[in-house]
Amino acid sequence: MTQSTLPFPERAFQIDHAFVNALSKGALSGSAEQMLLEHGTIAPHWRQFFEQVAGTSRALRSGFDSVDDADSIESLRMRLAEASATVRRRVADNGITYNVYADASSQARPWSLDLLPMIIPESEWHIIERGVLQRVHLLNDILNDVYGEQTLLQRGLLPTAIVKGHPGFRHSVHGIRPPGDTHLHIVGFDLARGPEGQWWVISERTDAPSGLGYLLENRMIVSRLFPDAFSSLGVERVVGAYKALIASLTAHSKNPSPHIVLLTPGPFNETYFEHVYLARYLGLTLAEGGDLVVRNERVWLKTIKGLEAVDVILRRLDDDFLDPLEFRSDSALGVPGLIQAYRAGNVVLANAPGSAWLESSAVLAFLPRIAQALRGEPLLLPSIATWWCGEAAAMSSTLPQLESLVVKPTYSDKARRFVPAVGNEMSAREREQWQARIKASPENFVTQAYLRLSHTPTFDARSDAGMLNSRAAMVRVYAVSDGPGRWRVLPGGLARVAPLGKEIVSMYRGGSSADVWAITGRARDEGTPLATTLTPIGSHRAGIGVTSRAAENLFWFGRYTERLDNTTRLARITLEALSSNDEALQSAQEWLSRVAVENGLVAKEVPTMRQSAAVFERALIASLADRRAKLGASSVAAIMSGLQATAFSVRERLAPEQWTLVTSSEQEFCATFANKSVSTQASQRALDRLGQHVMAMAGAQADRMTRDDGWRMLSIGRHIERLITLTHAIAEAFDTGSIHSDTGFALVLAFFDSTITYRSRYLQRRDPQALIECLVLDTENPRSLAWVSQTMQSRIAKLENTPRGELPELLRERFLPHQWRDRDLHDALTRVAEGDAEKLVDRLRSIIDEASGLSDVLSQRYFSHAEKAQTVGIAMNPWRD
Amino acid sequence: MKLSITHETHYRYTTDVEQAHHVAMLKPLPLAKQQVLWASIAISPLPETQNESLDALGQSRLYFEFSSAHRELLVTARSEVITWPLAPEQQGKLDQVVLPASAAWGDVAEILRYHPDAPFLDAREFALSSPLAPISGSFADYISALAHNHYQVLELARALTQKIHFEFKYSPLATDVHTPPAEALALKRGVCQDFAQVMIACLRSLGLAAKYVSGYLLTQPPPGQMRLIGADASHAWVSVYCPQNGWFEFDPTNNCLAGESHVVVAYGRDYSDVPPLRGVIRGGGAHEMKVSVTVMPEYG
Repeated sequence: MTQSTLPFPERAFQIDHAFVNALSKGALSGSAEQMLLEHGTIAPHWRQFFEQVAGTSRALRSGFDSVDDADSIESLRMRLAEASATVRRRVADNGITYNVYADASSQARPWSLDLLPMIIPESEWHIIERGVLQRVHLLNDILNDVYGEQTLLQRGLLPTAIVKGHPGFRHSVHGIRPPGDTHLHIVGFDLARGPEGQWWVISERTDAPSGLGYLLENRMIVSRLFPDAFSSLGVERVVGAYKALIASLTAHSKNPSPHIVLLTPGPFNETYFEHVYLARYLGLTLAEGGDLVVRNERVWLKTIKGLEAVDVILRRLDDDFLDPLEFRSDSALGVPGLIQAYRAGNVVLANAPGSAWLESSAVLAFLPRIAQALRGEPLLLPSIATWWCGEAAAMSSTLPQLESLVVKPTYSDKARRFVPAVGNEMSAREREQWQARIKASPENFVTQAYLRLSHTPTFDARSDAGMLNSRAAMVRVYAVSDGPGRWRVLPGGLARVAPLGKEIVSMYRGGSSADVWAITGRARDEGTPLATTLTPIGSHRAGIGVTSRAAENLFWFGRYTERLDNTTRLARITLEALSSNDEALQSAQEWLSRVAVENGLVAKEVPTMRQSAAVFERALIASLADRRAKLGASSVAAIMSGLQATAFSVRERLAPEQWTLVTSSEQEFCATFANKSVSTQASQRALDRLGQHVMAMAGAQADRMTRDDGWRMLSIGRHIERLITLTHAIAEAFDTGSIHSDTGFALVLAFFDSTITYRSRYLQRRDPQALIECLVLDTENPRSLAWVSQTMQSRIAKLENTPRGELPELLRERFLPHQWRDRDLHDALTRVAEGDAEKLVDRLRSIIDEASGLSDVLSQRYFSHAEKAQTVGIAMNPWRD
Repeated sequence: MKLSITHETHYRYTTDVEQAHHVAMLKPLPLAKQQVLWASIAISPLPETQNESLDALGQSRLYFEFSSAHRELLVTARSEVITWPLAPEQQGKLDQVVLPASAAWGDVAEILRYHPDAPFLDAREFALSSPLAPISGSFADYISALAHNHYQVLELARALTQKIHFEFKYSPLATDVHTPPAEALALKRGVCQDFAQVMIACLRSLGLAAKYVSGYLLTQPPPGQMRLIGADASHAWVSVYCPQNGWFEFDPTNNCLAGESHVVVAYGRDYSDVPPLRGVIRGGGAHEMKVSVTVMPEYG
């Protein structure tokens, strides 16, 4: 046991029943105690946990000479409350979310994680581990059989109705043998602990089980809060299992160093966060269906370098959606031809398609006999008692006992998330209706024993002082493949915890989660310190290009960042100019109006500043926080929505702080405008704050991102946007003549953020030629158009499919400011001095055309422009409607 | 009878198709009741990749893909098949056909249900719901009166074939390949695919097993015989399971048993298992499809 180094007595107080009562304020009773207490006294692992935590808390409160019990309990409570706040903060900082409704409009909800881990003692973990290992072998054997010889059907060990009658049975993969005969690479087992301490399997997740990312994130957060307890209890690390999985996927591929992608349904999936997180941790390319294409029966990733071969797909997309050619023809998320590539043996699919039917509760009823038949052994870990009503005897024996049972569908419908019907919650009339429904189509129903879940201790920080509590919990434990024909059980799990006082556990219905600490007696890698940051265990294979989709999103992420920067600054200087009430403002009114409209600060229809400065100002302020651009302007908040959407799509490439900055600055900014009327001063303050945030965003983009093609796309996006916006502003300044007034001149410099640069060179001189030199032609001033176009050119030249030293074709014919020092320009400038700006304005406006044209060409060449797929000759999916 | 079959599917697209993946199930199936002399599929333009394999039932499926732009696709399947006639008493209109005595349909449904110790039956999977022939109340209602009046499974199948034949209007524009059979039942209209799927769903709602048969029909009438509908497309009918007599094929579109004029291409649970030509294309804009099927008897 790790000792505190500070001079405190080892046990200032007893971790006992009384202690627990004190910490919980007497709220614990009944089933909670089953977990926490053994034979009336606290279970050894929980005692050790609290001793360690209390030890740490006393160490933190140095300065006390003696500590009495009440004081210690109070200090422990404080420590736990603090830790609990840390959990909430980390969840928010890391941007961990779980989208409850998978659509674009709803906000992702923060992940909910309890402070206390669920600790599983060694004696119980060994039973779980052996049982789960046996089951994953068994489930894989079953899949090999039903997609092969089908002896289980022929021997009556599995009814045809629950295999081939299930929509998750894939007729078209019958006969295909996956590499190594491994159908299952990740299986999730939902376990519950009964009142007697016995563990039961409630359900099995074989299609594309979720949770491995959340599990990792939970572990990172919780283990760091209790490092002493973690190591003294001998909790095994989980990292080995993730490494084994990647090694196993590699071993199953024909390619010795395979390119593995993680296939996600995309940002609107409820568990997208963990897809991003896992891809990053495992060092895999995150791909959506649209990023992949099948050619010559092989799978390819569309990158800006061209097509890159893909060898393994770790899929988080349900198999239903994998391939519109063979499965659901209305799936827009899948990859046409993917199953053919699998059939041809050219890609490893993890898991192999066709396992969804195994998730049916009905299967549980047949496992004991199958275990005997296939493996000659009984199930080591029992399933909760289950009956498939399609078997006449099962139906007739369970129908009368419905009161003590739960009814589930045989053919579960993931989308509708069927809530099990609990017999003892039904009225007599409802029970009769259920009995009638079951009798009418018995194959469609499964009955299961109702299990009162065991509770796990949780720390409820919401009450001021915080207190120990208990909630019903289920644990998802994972088996992962460990080479052909081998699996291992991940030591740990994802506990899903019911809301206080509720007995049904579901993340979907407002539950929470907890880290699961498995004491295995063989805590590995103890020499290495607990990881404090997330270091990818694999690394992106060298040379894999950025996906076309990511490139496009990064490009727009760059453009939106720049647009936000410019628009915020423009709004600020416009409000300032308006409030200055200067006579001289008149000379710049026309310029301000035109530039404000061009940049979306006000709608075209709004009266100009000259017509009514007051109306103009009100419209400008009203539009600032108008997220949906309902006022016809697409101002600051609307740009931030675009920024968020693009950032969200490329989250796997952003540091967590970058994402937090994007979301928190939006919330902060819009909060200012929650009131009906907002003063000019308050708007200016909000814009100032936002300006600082945007600088931080730009800084993070410059300093925190790897200089790969993805980053280059972002940078090119920023520069194109800057070029277009600033060029327009300066051209208008000459066109309206505002440049010839002090105010107009100063405003242009302010918008270019170059006031200091200019003044340091030209002092207070108002010289349009000097201004052109400083803002257009200077290749040293990072705000000048020449610098921007030159930088953009060098980024484009470095994109990986550009031959070295060669000017890319798409730039060659573009006449951009850094190439401008010609006679023609000299002529234009001379005319300006003579009072004729027309030629200069034309020249400037040509930059806008060139830059917009460049944007189009880039998008044609690098971004995916696949039109929507359409299906021909296939029926859609009426199924059970 | 020796039959020569040509089945052309012609797609024209208004814009380039950049990418296409297809599966064709167009080759007649070798069976005891039909001998396939030869079968070929020609595709134009030539696909970059094609690969023929057999599905779980031993039926040919041809995968092919394009990754270069094209504006049309022509798939031509040709074959020669020898078919054998039904026994004389089973030829002609169903009302004149003499069917063998068969088991009570209730008993058939019972043996198709799962019992842990009962012998396994391949037919079981065809008694279950499938995407385009699901079990539901409306089909049970449609067949209930017949089920009450007919005892033997083949007699029930005959009665159902006739009921659909006479109550449904053959109407190519009323439905398409996506139409669920419940809708076709409500409309009482459709084509051979709808008739077959309605019939299958009705039989399944009683617990009986029925397969969807995709194939061809000779419409060039042999001398002295009537002309049958379906010259312009591939055909579909229904195979019904009967324990003693095996599978029996009923054609609700033509009110007859499938005989020497019928050529089987593939069996499935419904159309979605065996569409003759399916695909997922990128690009193409609006598309126009023409199918022409010619089945020619070769006398001599």
